[in-house]
Amino acid sequence: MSVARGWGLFTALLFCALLVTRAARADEPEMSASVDTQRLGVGEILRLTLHVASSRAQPSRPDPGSTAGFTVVGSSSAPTTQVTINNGRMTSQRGLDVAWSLRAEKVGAWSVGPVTVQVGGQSYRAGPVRVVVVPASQAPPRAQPDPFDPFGGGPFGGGGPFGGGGGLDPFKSLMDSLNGRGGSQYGTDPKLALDAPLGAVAFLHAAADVTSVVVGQQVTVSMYLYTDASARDPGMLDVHEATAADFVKRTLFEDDNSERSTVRTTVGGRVFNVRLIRKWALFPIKTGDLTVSAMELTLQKSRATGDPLRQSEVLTIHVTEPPTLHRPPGYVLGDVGRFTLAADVTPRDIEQDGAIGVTLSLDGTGNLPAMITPPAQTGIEWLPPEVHETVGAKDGDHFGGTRRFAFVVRIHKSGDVQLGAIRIPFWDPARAHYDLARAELGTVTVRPSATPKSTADQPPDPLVALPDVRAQMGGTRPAPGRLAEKRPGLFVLALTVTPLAFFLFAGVSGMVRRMRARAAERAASPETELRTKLSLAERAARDADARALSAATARALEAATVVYADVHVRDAREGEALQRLLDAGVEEWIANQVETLLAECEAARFSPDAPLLEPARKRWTQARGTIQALRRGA
Amino acid sequence: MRPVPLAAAFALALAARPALADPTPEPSDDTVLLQSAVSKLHDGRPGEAIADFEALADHGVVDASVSFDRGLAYAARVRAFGEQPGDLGQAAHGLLEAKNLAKSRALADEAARALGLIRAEVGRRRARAGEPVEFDPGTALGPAFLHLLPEDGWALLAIIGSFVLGLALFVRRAATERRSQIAASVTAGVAILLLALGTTSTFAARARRATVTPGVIVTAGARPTDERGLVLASAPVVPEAAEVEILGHRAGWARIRWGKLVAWIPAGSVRPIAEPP
Repeated sequence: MSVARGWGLFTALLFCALLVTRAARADEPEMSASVDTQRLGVGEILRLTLHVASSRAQPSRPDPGSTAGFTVVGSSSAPTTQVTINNGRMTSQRGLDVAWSLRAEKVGAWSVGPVTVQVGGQSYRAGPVRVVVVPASQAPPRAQPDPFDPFGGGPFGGGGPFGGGGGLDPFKSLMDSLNGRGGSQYGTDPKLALDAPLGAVAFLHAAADVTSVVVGQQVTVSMYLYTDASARDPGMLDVHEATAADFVKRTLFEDDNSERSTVRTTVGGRVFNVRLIRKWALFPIKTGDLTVSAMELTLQKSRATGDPLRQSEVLTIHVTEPPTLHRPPGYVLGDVGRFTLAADVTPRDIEQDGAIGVTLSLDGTGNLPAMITPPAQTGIEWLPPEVHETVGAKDGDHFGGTRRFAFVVRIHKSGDVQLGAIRIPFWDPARAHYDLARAELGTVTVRPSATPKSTADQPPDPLVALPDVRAQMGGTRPAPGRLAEKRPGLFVLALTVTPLAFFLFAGVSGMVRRMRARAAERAASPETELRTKLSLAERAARDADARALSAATARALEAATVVYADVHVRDAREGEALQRLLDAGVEEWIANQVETLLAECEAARFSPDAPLLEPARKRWTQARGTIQALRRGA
Repeated sequence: MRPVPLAAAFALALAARPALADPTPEPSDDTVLLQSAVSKLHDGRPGEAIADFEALADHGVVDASVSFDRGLAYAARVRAFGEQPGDLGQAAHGLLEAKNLAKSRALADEAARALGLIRAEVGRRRARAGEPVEFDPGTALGPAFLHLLPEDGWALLAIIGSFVLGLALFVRRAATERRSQIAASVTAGVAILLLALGTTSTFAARARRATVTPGVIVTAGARPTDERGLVLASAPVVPEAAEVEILGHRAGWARIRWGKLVAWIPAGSVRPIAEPP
């Protein structure tokens, strides 16, 4: 092998190694760090900034590393997202910009860093950098920044010692406002006047142009920073952007960092400088009461500022769907704005199975559709499009621009092929009705292929066995019966009728039985017998039958002694009744009376002569009195 | 009443009768839209046909044939090389809806057959991509038991149980022989079981119908997450065209049951199936 060939092989291997290394590094995050100066005096502020961007994961947990000789007096971070669509492929990069303010404490040569950050679980570092701190009297001249402004001093454009240079400060304009370095074009705007300040010295104020929209309709949110014109410029330590998770958020500023003029207004009788620091177009992606969170910043704590945290208002936007009435076929929820569509088809004459280019230009304001569904036809194959867009603020506060979809379309059939039309229905909120952006694609002449494809070349169609469509509505089967829901009363009745009938029957028959038993029991009781005897005696007294009356009187007395004295005297011999009654506690005279009357009745009943009616009635009258006396005594 | 106006009114009614009884009704907007969609589908323009079919759905048309045609329109777009993500799921949705709504057995069978073809194609693609192809991971025991009978079937069972229970109690009371009394007691016990089972199942089926909606996955798979939106690493991706049960909604999310898996997926990934009105 010659020396020349050997060198060639070595060069090729080296080149391959470089390529492999480069490919391996393609996934690594872009990272740069910088300081605003490498020589400063004691007490001065050193600004250390870090910019990281990664296609893999969100960078997190930034750390300035070693800060020996310095004190960290402030920091601020801002996540960033960048989306790129190239050749139909969407890539996104997530980034993080961090700035630290370090106050030099000791003279000497110090090593600051390395700065570290976590990306996808891995740690990456940049630096360290050597910084020389000299006594304050020997410090080189430099613009004296606000000691509490971590972004001040202009490190975001200057080349630092890390070679990163082009850092990005998302809060530069905001910080400049707070430090009085903003534009100086003062005007007055009464529309920005508020009843009362939302915080001392400086505060944030958020405003939305509308509070009730449909899905996809633009909501313009403006964020203002108010600073008291008569107060000292407040320093700022930390800033957090407002988040709007339920919206697509697009900025209406070409650059959030660009200088914007300040106007003056009165708030609660005081003059405030007002600067518009953010303006976003928000497009809601769903219905409901959606919120835009507060933007936050922390001021340097002082007696004047009080609580240093400043928060803007939380905005709530009520979002509904556009009306379904007159909604055109093909409308996609979220297509809201005002669009026009143009199409360019070239060439118009191709050979079968050849391809044409179809470029669709969608222009307008609002929520421009990110995707266009091509008019699928048998024999026409639409490949995924390349999308290019130029969007931003348009016509004042409207978001809009142009989105181009470049399709490659393969045509597998011959003849004059009608490509059809592209239709994009949209809801126009300004005119409150649906409209249509439409572009005719026209006809393409397709010459038959000189080398026709054999059927073997065609991929098999797995869905060829699908049935044909139905041309008429066929109705639907009736909903299944839902007895328990539609006729709950009937269902409960059907469930309970038979057992209830049984229990009813059992209950009623039991009740009848009990009533009968009770009646029978009542019929056999002494009280009943007494009433019967009394009634028989009364009847006998009316019938003028002296013998029967005497007998009835005796039976009534006997029954009365049973009821009222619980003494049976029917089988008593002479004198025995008296004794039994006395033993039962009956008063003597009553007992004597009973004894006497019973004896007289017996005598009258069994007298051989017909007894006289009058004495019998008299006895009955006496017997009634005795029975009353017995009852009272009982 | 005066006779002349009555006669005039009668004559007017006679004259108006043919016009009122016109047997050819004007086709409704929905019918025209359906005919337009079918015509576009026959002309090989499934994209435009889909727009018309979806417009019919937006109008609230619930019809087995319309759902059937909509499913076929999505399938036709796949066949016409114009496939959009989720088209096979949408096709499966239309066909499953047609199967559930169909009045005629023929249409239901045809929809089931077409649905089989769509799922076979989804399965083929997933197999090529090395993903599991299981569409039906089985049903949990409770719902499977409730599916044994329709809701009214359970209600009827409960009513029969109730009737037999009442009858057995009467017999038990009236019977004098020991054997008859035992037979009646056993019958009453069985009837009580039937009554309890039927009633419980009726109300369970009713509650399930009120809270659960069938749906179909209409995106290229849905990754299950927990209630915080964090992906369940151990749970399989619910495949396109799979039938799921929608248990509830939250802003932007739907809670679904797929077999034994209960999880949250993006609401746009699942499309509910229309029920007969």
